[in-house]
Amino acid sequence: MSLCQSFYNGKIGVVDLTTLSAYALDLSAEICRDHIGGASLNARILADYESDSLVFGTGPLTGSFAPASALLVGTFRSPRWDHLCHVPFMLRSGPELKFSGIDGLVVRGAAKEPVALSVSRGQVRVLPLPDSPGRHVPELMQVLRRGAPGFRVAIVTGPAADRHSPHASASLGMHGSPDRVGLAARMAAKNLKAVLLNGIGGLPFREDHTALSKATEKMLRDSGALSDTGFITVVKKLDDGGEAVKAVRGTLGRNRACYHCPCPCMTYAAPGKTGPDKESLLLRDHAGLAALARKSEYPLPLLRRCLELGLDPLAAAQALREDRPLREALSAVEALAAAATPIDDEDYPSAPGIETRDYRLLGGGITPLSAGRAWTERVAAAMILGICPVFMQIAGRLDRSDLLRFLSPDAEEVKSLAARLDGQVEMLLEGNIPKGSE
Amino acid sequence: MTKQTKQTKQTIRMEASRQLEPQLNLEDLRPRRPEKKTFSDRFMPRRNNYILFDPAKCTGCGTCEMICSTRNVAKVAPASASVKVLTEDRLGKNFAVLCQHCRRPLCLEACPTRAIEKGDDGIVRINDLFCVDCGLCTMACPEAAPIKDPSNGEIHKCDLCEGNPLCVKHCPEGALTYTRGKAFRWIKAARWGVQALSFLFLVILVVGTFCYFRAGTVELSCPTGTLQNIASSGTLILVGASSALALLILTVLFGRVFCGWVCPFGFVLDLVDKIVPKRIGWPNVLKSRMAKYGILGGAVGGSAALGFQAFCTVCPIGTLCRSYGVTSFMQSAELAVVPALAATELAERRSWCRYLCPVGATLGIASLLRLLKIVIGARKCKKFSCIQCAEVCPVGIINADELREGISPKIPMTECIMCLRCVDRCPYDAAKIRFRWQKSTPGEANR
Repeated sequence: MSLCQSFYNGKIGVVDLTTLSAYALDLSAEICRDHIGGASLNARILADYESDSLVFGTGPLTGSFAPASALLVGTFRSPRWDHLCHVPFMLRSGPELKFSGIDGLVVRGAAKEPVALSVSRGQVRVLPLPDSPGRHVPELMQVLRRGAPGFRVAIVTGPAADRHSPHASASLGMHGSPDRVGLAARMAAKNLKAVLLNGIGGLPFREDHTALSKATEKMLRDSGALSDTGFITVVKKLDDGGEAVKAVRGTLGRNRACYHCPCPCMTYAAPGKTGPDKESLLLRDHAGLAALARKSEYPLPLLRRCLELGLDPLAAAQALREDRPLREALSAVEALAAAATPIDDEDYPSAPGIETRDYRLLGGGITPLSAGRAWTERVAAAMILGICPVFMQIAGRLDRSDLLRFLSPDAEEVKSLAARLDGQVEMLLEGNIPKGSE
Repeated sequence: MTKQTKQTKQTIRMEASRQLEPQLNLEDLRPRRPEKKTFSDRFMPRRNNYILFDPAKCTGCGTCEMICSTRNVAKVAPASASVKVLTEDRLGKNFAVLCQHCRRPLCLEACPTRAIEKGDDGIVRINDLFCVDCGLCTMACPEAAPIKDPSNGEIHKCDLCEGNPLCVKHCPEGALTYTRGKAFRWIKAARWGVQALSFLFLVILVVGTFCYFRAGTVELSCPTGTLQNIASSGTLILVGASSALALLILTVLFGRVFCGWVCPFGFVLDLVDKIVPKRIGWPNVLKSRMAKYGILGGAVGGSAALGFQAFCTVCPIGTLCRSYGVTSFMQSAELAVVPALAATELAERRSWCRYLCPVGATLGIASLLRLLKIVIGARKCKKFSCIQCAEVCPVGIINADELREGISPKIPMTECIMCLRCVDRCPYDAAKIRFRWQKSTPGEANR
């Protein structure tokens, strides 16, 4: 049985925003055979459409019993760097897309007025959102809840994207995302304000998956990978000076994990007792918060403002001057959200020890918990399989073959899949996947 | 053979087969309303099975939904699960909604087709044969635990996987625990022991001990009787008044612990409670807890007017102690008082104590100065639909509606008889004894 039959719905939705039309296409068996899925499959699908198209897709393990099977990948060709970029979305986004009845969504053309796409029961609908531009993300979410009730996950853009800021970042609800490479700008260029996912369906599963899932979790627990969890544990690994740790101390609440993830790396924080700070903030962007904490003693209010504006916190930290008063720092963040020119840094975004091009290719926002080629290959493999790339780094002991066992119980087939995965990782990192590759 | 003959034969065959079939119809299969409790159930209640949820551990990963859906619809389809994970981002909380298999399930009462049953094992189940997916159970449930499947409109409800819940087994954080309740409730055992010993001492062994007891220089007396005595005689006898202080001091120290643990008539009422088949309800016009204070006033005033202790002649505690002991067994007309007033238990649990008892009223006034109080922390009470504390409270002072809304209920300590059933029963340790000046409720410090 092919991966297409076992792990996918076998359908993709195609939306043409120019004509505001949508239809579903069968995922061809040939493509399924050649590409395992995720970022690799997205790139292959994108090759069939115009270069300004946008593809949201899932991996074969997305929504399955494999640990942290939460991934949704947004793929597009970046005009700024002229190569493909793959932006990962976690929490519940991947499973919601897959359980909505389609495995991927291709967005072509551009709408004249702002629109949202609603995906449910294998169908895509285009919804007009005339009064959405300029709204902060929380406000926009309220508008969406009133206009299109029932959705479970939303990928949205904020005012930063409306004002054509190159540092706008697509946001998963009100929680931001690892988009530092302009996916939000691409969405804004298409007048696409939101993608709403409502995964009320499901997919069959292999009988041994539950036991395999439990065994994998036990292996990770025994290896100590799950002993320290929460946002602060991850931040400590990034934050040399400890500013971020100091900034969030005393504000942290409960941990939060992505879909079926045994290793929660996010934590809620409630920085204040009154006013807007009384509301909790989900700390997800480890590198973003660490960067803001290095520049300002008010990283949490600044992070909240970045999320409201749909702005990349790392870019905001780059733009800030050190130790400015809060009001001045907030003004600088607002100014960055309104600026149409990128910050003056050729190497932005980057992470120590990782090729800048590779880092951008994989979204530019995945927490760099390791360095060098190991990071790149591990993250790329996760983005093909549909597993959270942050989890792949935290779960150091977890080998790719441990995950491939979810695709096939046969050891020989696992070996063959591993070889195919290696090939596709190579191709993904090259940046271009030609039609009918392999 | 003609066509008509063929048809006739077929009709005869069908008729014959119908007669051979057992006379079963859908009504025979439909779950019946819960049977009355058996005698043994009343004394040794069955332990209820349910899943404990710890929101402090829940990360909202949704593994419980995944695994539950595989049992419901044989697919990974979180929306079709019988458990629902809710994440409240503004408050920074994750929460799992799942059936608590209540002792008195509201869903069962609400179901118009009687499709919901509570089995002998305590598990509340939906019988798919009769369920018409109307969703009334979801509306009736304080937890909204019966969940409507958005894909096909069917209602799914947790059946504890017939005693082996998969969600508990697969929760990576251990936020779900399957329990059958506490195996041994030591407070309950201690209370019944103390009550039985008190009854033995006050009623059987020594005659008239509650009204007045003297051993050497130690004198003890009933405070309500002493009040009536003072009123009827018109003189304040210091020795008599000081002998009544013992019970009042006990009340100031520990609340109305006499009513919950010592009172022999309370013990009789608790025993009667075990055999009451059905309650008829206390008349609404008499449903005032202030009535007992009126009776106390009336008893004191009546004693002053009549010149003798007016209430003591019909006091159930006094008559029980005076007339039912080994030396005085069945000696007077007072014998009728105890069964007559014990019959009030048919109306409501401890209705005598709630509405009528002037001794309880005297102790209620003394308990205004109490040092201890009972608190139920809504923040620690992790399942507001559990309300076991409200169900077991014999004097009905725990507001279940407040609990269902997540509010820490205010417990009027002048009414609380300190039986500690709520403390004993709470599976989340949310019901606690605190000093009256302590402001915090359980779970507040963990916020």
